[in-house]
Amino acid sequence: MENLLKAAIIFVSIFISTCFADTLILSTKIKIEYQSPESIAHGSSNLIVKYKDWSFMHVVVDPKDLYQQIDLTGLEKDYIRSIFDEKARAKLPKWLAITAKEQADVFGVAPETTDRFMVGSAEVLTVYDAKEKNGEIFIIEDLSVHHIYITGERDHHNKISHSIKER
Amino acid sequence: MDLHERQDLKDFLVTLYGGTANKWPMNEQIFNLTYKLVAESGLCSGMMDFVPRPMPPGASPMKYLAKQVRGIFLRTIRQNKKQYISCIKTVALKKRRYFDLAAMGY
Repeated sequence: MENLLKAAIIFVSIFISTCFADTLILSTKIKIEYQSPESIAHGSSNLIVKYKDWSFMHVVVDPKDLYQQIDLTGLEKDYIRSIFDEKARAKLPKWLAITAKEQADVFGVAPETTDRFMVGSAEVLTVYDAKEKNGEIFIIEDLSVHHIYITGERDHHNKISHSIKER
Repeated sequence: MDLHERQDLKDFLVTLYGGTANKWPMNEQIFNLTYKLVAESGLCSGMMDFVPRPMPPGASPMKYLAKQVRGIFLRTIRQNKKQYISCIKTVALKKRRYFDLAAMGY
């Protein structure tokens, strides 16, 4: 009986460690718990977490760098929200609202493809494109906006979006 | 790709994605991604009129296009980069992941 219990504990420990073994800290308030990958690569401004057949990449949104010809400094949170929300879009200058609409169309924003929820004080906005098999997750915090690119199946996208947790 | 082609490609990508593209290798994979980004964006009417289409599914643009056509493509996107970038910027944001993956050898 004791041996059986030990074996069960070892099995559960291994299962837990292979399911969610790693933590990516995004800020003082937010983290992502993710399955151990095959490799992790650090680019000049991004972190790529790579699995055999899918990956996710984290980038802190630089308002001057989202589009090279548009400086969104001070507007970046409203702009990201406006990609997902027509009412928020209406509050933007017309030229920027047109860009937000175009970006929404490119991402495939629609009620059935998007999700929006809070993690503590952080606002999470997600969209998944089933045709291209990739998704976007934006996390809007007080001090920064994070963009997570998912390249893979919807399950992978959902798994990462629901692994965003408070620290 | 020869030196001029690599420079044209880098010039376009730096204008599109900023200084980070300076660190990307200008190789076949990055060329193919650029070609697909421009060809598939569908947002710039007339942009691809000089390039033969459609391309066979799965074909590598680098291998499929004649060297002369490839050179014209690269010169054209470089010379008209500001005009092109304004109409592909939203598609470019979505496709950014593929460039970053390629740049890291994935």
